[in-house]
Amino acid sequence: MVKNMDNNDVNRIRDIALNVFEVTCYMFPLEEWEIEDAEDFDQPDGSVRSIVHFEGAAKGGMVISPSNHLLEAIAANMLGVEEATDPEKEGALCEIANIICGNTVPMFAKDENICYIRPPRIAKADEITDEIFKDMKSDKLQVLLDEGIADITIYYS
Amino acid sequence: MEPVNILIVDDCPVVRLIIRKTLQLCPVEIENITEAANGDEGWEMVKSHDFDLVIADLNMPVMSGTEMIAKIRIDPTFNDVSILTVSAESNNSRIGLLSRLTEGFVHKPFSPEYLRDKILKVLEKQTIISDDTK
Repeated sequence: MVKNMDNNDVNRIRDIALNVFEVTCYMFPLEEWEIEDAEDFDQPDGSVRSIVHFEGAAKGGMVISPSNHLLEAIAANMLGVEEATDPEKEGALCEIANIICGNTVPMFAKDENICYIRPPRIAKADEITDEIFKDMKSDKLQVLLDEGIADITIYYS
Repeated sequence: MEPVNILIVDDCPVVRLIIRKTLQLCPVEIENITEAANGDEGWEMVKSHDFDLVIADLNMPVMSGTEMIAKIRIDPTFNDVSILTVSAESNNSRIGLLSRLTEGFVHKPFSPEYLRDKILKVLEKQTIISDDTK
């Protein structure tokens, strides 16, 4: 039985995500004095979401939903291009989800139990992730970056 | 160092492109870079080509990188092929097991410079080993 996450766990996931965005996409977290600027940012609308399932020591999944501007910037920065194609944007988002999830699941691994993550995929437009992971615990967090906002939801049982 | 042939195995085309771009940062002569989208494709490529280095992800559909690496390592025909794994895998016992089967492990997230240095280290080590056996 996996215990409920507390604020420290959620903050740990946020730190992991911020580090992944920084190292992989050259994006930086908003400083405290910049956070009010985030009100001008477009919010994630869920139109493009990446899902990563995991199983083993814990079962669940992670869903990452970036704002449109952030999605464009992820792919452009990862590839070093001005404007990425839609498949490139989706591929880049899936890779980010894969890395964040891969670095997060050891939080569930106790006594040498391992979590295996599955290849990430893009959610269908009408897919309701709360339904896919129903009866599981979940926690939501938001990461505020200089290039936009991402919502992250982690489901686990 | 002789020109090298490299195989990139990753299901994400974006990652393959990033690795390809990183290889261009390496001060080595590259004869050919080939790509495969999963372990099964990678294994077929390894059997039909002569690679010096395989750069492989672990978490892939159809056949995982771990399975592909095991197939390569079991077959003595491919003893000269170096393998560098690039993965978000964070379990120390699995990483330890992989390190016995491969020449290097790059944990994601990575910077292009870090990956470049790891690739160079593997290629340099490989050259030293093959020079010693001549």
